[in-house]
Amino acid sequence: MNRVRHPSLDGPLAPKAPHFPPKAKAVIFLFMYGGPSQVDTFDYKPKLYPLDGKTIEISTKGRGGSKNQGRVVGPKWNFRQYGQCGKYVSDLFPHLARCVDDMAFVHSMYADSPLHGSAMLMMNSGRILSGAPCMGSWVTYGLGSENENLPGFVVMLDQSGGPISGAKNWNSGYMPAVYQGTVLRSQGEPILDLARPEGMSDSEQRLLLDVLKEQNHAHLRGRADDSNLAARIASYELAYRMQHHAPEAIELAQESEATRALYGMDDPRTADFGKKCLLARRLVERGVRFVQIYSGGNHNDHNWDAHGDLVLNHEKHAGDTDRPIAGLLADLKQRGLLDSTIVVWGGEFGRQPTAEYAEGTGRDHNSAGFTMWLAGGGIKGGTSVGTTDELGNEAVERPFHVKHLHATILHQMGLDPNRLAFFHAGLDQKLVGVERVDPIRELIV
Amino acid sequence: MLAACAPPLGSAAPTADSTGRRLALAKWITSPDNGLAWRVVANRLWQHHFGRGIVRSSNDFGRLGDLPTDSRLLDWLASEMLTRGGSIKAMHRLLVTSATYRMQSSPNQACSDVDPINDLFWRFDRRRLTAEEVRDSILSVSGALNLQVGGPTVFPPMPAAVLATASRPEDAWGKSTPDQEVRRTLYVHTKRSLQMPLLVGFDQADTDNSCPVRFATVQPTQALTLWNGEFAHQEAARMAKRLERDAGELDARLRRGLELVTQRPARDDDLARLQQLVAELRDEFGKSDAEALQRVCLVLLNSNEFLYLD
Repeated sequence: MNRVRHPSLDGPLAPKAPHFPPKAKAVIFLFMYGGPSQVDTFDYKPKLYPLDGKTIEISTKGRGGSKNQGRVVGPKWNFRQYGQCGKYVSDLFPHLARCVDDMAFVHSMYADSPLHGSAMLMMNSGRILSGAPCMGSWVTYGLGSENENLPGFVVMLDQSGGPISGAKNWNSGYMPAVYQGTVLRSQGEPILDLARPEGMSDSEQRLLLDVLKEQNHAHLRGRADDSNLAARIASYELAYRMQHHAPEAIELAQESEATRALYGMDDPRTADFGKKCLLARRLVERGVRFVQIYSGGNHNDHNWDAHGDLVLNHEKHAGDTDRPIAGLLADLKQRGLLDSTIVVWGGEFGRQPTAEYAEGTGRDHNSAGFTMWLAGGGIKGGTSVGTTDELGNEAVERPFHVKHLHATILHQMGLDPNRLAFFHAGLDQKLVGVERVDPIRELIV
Repeated sequence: MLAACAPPLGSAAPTADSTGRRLALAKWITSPDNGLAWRVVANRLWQHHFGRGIVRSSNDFGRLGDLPTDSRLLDWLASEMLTRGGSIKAMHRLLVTSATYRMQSSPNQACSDVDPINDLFWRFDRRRLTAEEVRDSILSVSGALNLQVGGPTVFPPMPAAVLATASRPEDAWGKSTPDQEVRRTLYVHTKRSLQMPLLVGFDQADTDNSCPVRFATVQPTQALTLWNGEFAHQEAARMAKRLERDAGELDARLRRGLELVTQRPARDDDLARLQQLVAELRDEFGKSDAEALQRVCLVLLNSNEFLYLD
């Protein structure tokens, strides 16, 4: 086992060899914050429709606590079969439905917490408590970055705000801060403090940087044995280059009208998420390892947390993202990038088949069974793995914990989930925990 | 010689309002026979003065921890602490008046050949300022630092772009008065899910885990923060104003600026470099003297000599 006790601090983002030849070089995680309802999206449950409005015996656990019965809310959308695999997809996703032969569904996901804060942390860092590094941190720690002019782990948030617990969802925990996610804004200054302050031209900045460099070199005399001093001098040149490269990465001028339309950027409704998806492709093309895009932020109906009006909520969030995501898959595929990029879709948990309140269609949280899908990066398209019970409430066949999803992603990136470790607090800490976890083999080509 | 094993735990002496069990535990931990506790404390004190512990893994003296680089030194310090009645103040005096503490950080080839990572403290390890020290030092040289002691925590301005990442941006952070914003970083409010980017960037401890030893990374994002960030520019402007107050002539102001950030007399070559910079900013970029002085201060606040302690 490679124990890292004192991680090398010269070039912590320098590319590192994977444990074995990788299938994927990058991850794009489309985080449906709030928890999409599986039975209204990808987990087709025909028996649920006729039960609409009936109160049945069913064991659920959500923010409203544990219940033993509930009023069924029948799925609010029809499902139709698509693709060669004949996958049933709800009418919420007319565009994405056409990509099912590239997608692999895990219908039997489960997680440890039915509450947003802890469930978010679990999906992002493998633990329900904050303080552990997020998956993007693990990937950049394990593999480094292929482009030193851009951060290795990039996060794009919803227009409405960040998710609950904010930065804890892209934090590097007990690892150095260099592995934390960088929030990238799709408009204006892409990265915090990237832009020169007003009133400072490029040539003035260059002059100041040159004087700083001279001064630091004078200081270096007699201290040349200290690599940190030289590294700090170099870091200013790197920062200077980042000022040029990061804006270039988010500059969409070279993208054709057809490409923009593919991502839904021609429609005000899908323009924002579409732009983020297009940015994700551009970042991946430039060697960024891990890109996470949030659909939904803030609280209540600003995200997929449909406690009140399910139709209103899911129509909004699915409608905002369906075309952009389908566009992303198509664009990655036509550019030959899908083979080396894993796209992951899902929330921190799913939703219950029954109503939360006496009135209305809102569903409470459900961590006992939910659906996520993956595509690309050596993932077997047109596959569906695991099932929930006939009401879509609980994972019954081949249940997979969040850590199995994590193990699968690491594995595709060429990292052994049971070997990728960081020594902290007397333990070789791992994303998947200390006990052995295997990737979901059925998903892998 | 200190015992290698812990002594047996004494029995609790119950009183009317206590079982006495915690007192028994405390006495057991601090017993003169319990060498481990004294070594741990002595090592901690050493770490904070010398940059690293004699046992580098200061949270872990067990099987998974590092061995002491000099076990006799650690034993001696632990014994001295006992001898001095457990006085932490006496230990500080002992450490900072030692010859080892006064060693230079300059290189020495012969020593490097024998002990390249300075296990034996043949020199003082140069170190970067910690996140808190970076902020406090900038405020100090700009003249803004408020040294008030105690009181509730304060909220220096949080960049709007960072606030926007919170799920309730409008409630995510407080606001302090201008004189309170410039308190020492010790008094800055710690919110688990929202840390100041300047501090996180310079490796402030994560808010969830016990942090025995800070990382000291060198990152381009640190350069961006200190070079482009609002705080750096605001304090550079404040420092320029201070130099104008402190000295009359341009040369004297430049000299004063150099001395503030380096804590040594300014050398002629340093001064000449800044004089030339001011001239270029004036002649080629049309900057006023006041604007040029602000730019000089920005350069000074970014210099390695300011951020690193010999």
